[in-house]
Amino acid sequence: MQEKPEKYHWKKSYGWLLIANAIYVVLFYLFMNLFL
Amino acid sequence: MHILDSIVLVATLAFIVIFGYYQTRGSKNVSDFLKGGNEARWWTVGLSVMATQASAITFLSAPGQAFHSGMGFVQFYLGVPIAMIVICMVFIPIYHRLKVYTAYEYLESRFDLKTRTLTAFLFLIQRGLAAGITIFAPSIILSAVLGWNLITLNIIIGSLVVIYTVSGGTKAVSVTQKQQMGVIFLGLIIAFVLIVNDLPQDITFSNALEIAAANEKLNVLDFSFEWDNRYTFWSGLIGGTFLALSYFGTDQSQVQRYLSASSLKESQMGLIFNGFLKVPMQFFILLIGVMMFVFYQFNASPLNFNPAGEKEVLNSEYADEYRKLQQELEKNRQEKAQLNYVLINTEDKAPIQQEIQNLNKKEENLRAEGVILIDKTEKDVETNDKDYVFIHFILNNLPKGLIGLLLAVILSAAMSSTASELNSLASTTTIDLYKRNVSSEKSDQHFLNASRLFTLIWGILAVIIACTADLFDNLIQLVNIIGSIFYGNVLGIFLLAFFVKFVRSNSTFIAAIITQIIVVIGWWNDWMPYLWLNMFGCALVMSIAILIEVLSNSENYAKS
Repeated sequence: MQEKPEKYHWKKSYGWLLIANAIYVVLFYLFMNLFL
Repeated sequence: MHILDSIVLVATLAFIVIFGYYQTRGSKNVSDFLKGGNEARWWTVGLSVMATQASAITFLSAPGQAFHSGMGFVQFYLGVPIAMIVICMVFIPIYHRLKVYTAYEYLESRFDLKTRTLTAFLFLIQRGLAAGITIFAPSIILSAVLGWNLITLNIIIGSLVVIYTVSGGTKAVSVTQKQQMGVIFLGLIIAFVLIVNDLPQDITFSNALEIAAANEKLNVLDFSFEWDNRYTFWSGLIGGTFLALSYFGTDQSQVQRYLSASSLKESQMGLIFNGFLKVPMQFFILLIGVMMFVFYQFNASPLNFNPAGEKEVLNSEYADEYRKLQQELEKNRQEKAQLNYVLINTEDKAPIQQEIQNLNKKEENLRAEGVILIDKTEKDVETNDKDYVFIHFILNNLPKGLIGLLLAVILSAAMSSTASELNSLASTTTIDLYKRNVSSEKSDQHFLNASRLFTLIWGILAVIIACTADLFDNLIQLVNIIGSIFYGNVLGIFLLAFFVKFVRSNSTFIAAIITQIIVVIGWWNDWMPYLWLNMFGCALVMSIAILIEVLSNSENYAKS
């Protein structure tokens, strides 16, 4: 069976998700160092 | 247990089960039963996905993990958002377009029946065992601390889940999971507030974090490249992405959650919701463990949190030696408590921190010596006590009524995961094995009845596995290892299907068989920490399949 090539759609919410999780990592870093 | 706790526990669980049963009874057809009639909105999908992953052991084990080793475990989830995006962009649109009931159904349209059957079979072995352990893990802990009968508890958890899962299928799983997540969030927030409230009057939340940091418990991120260190930023980001891709993208217990959504968009939004909440939720659960650690800096703690272990050793010839260790531990704690007070009131923290860390090392040694004494009794009890820390705190420090609520949290978590597992095991057995390989010419009603029957059978099997799990050493770890052995291979097959269009069915099937053999040999000979087997299996099956395809193409070309 020959399938049509898939088109992958990027949505804004994916970008927000990555940004949110990058912010979590930065907050964790600050959190680690803030109380030392 | 106090009567008030019993009332709260029984009322909470009974409400969830009865509500779930009445709200969703009377599925009319297979689609109703296995896909919930495709009515779920994104928040239902998101909560259902989270509830499926968060088993009882998550709530029992993670705070204990933070208590002993700090917050590094959160890194394990850093790959989840990346995996959510890949699944939303690649996996879900295909599943929706083909209107599949199970993930493995797609593999037949892309490859062939044998590849579909193989992956479905691998799923059933792994998830069937895991369903038993999902019931067994909280049962063994609750039976140890509360003295409840292990087998009775296994049967109660299994039966409660079977009642609404057999009756209402996927819709019942989603409806009950929303309430279970409500109970879980409420219980965790109350536990956190009470732990902070139970700290000494003169220790503020900020002081508590300072003390936790000085005791090396706030080490959330580790950027080192140590291969043997299980939880680093890199293993979480790379290994965690592969693991999350396998779990959320190809494991039917998760796929079925988002296939029940009313549209493609609702499925995607449900997973994105999970991607936003997963890391902070795990961070919060670990923070509870850290606060519990601070609490036990100012309050006495047992040498080993598993009461069964302590009971055995105190009834043995090693009792005096053990009591001596307990006294030393308490003396050590008192010294540490004083140093912690000095720490929060001084500017020059480094020397105090060093002294605290020395006392922590001493505490670790004392606890290790305690474990050796428990082992010497030669009784078969769990000496790794991380799963017992949180429940010890709950039973000894929470007010009456709230103990019942927190026990409801643990049992709700066990039930929500088990329900998804039974539901997906039944779907795969009905759709991928029974309907496709055995009997395809029957009516819709016949397959609806078959789905119900398979749910019941898998429920009974899960309870039997839970009741016999105690006979095997390290069964929980064994199930995780089995997961890692199969997951990578299955993910690789799906990635080949999605992205490497020139690879055909025979190459994939042969590669899957070869990969499975190599991965088992690799695990047996301890080539790498087992969490990395996922990535290894995935890369291996893809490479072998591509190689076979290229070689067979060039051979055909030469012949022609």
